[in-house]
Amino acid sequence: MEFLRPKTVEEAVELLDHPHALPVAGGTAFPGKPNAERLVDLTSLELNYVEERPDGFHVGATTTIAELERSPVAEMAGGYIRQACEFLADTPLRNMITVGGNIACGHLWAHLPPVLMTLGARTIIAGKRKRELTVYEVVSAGLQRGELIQEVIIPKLGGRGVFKKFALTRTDYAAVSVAVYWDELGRRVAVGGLVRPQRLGDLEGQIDITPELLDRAVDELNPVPHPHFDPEYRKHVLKVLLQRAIAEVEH
Amino acid sequence: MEICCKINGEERKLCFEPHERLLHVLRRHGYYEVKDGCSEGHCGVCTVLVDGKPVKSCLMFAAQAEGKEITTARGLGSPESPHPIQQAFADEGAVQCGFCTPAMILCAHHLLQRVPDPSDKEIRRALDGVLCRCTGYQKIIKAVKTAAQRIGGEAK
Ligand SMILES: Cc1cc2nc3c(=O)[nH]c(=O)nc-3n(C[C@H](O)[C@H](O)[C@H](O)COP(=O)(O)OP(=O)(O)OC[C@H]3O[C@@H](n4cnc5c(N)ncnc54)[C@H](O)[C@@H]3O)c2cc1C
Ligand code: FES
Ligand code: FES
Repeated sequence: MEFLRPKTVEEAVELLDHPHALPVAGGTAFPGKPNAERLVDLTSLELNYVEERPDGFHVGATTTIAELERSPVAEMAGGYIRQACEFLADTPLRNMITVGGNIACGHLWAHLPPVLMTLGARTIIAGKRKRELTVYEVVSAGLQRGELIQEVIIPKLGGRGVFKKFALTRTDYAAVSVAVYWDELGRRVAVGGLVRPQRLGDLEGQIDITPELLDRAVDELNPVPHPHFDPEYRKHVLKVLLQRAIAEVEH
Repeated sequence: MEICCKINGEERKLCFEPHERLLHVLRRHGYYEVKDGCSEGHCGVCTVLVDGKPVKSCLMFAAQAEGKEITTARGLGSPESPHPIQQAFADEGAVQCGFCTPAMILCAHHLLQRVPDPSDKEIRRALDGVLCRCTGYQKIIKAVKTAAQRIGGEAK
């Protein structure tokens, strides 16, 4: 196995064009012996920045959660992103885990994807050809071989967001997570923890949330088994967190 | 493969296999104060400072330490000349088996560098990545406060 540290995105893309190559960022989601012949380190690519531009906040893929939490974008929409970072793993891990890695890792409990989905964030994907994908597209379909997330663009929005998680301890993996964003155009809702991060369209828009509507939206979900909590319990917790988050964000 | 980095202020050359994590490489090079608890990112006793920030060395690829400054608890002070945080841990009974102590001290150091007079909440959050199976945490939190006061006193 080889561990390579390219200096530019172009070089990284070239090195990733290999049948058994994987990008590495924070390294927190890799097993002891990674199943790859080539690891390509992204942390020396200078993708570590948060810049405020007219079309939104541009966040480099290797920005760590600790850095994101202290950047201006974290305070947008009532500290929405700060809430998602606050109990994302723990202090030393927040110094390692990167924004790109949290989106690309595919873990159900990842905090950023549901939040970014409700904000309508886009990702810039570097590869043989540059392309733009929504966070949902990255999480649901994944990237192609040789591609990497270079940057995330988060629109500047003036509403309010609330993120909530349910876990064994505050710093443990989220068994249920909810992200609700609200402004004059309506409400956007996403969930994670018990299923792959996704929007819950049934609960969006200007509608009032009735118990029947909530039951219908949540009962459709098929939770991935969890070592401590059974699926019905987690669905119940999800309904409670959704109600609380929606009430908080709209008052 | 081989990299150069600074460990506790000393230039070092480290040799290892490309997949190896910093924890195992450091221990092989004699830095036994960096503990191996779980090797999977949960317990935090492997924490070291990389360019001043705490990270879990069992997850960081050693190759990523190229050109970095690494600090272990040994780099803060010695038994003859302990750092005020180390002294406060001893004085307040914050050390029982000692397995978590080097990591706790490094996390406390990082906190006090940024926040000289931390609240309980700030201390708890700064230490949230390290498990202690002995003390019940109260004395550790007390020790960080004592250290903050002593360091503050010295600065005045
Ligand atoms: C004990 C523990 C607790 C945790 N708790 C939480 C939690 O509560 N909430 C939470 O959100 N997360 C949590 N995490 C983190 C989460 O599970 C992942 O480990 C993390 O998000 C991965 O980020 P990374 O930067 O370390 O990526 P890496 O481990 O470096 O990579 C993860 C995957 O993504 C790929 N990748 C990385 N960067 C890119 C990129 N820019 N483009 C394309 N592919 C890329 C890699 O090839 C790899 O497949 C926890 C982790 C641990 C170890
Ligand atoms: S050894 Fe347990 S977190 Fe690293
Ligand atoms: S003193 Fe024993 S683990 Fe903390």
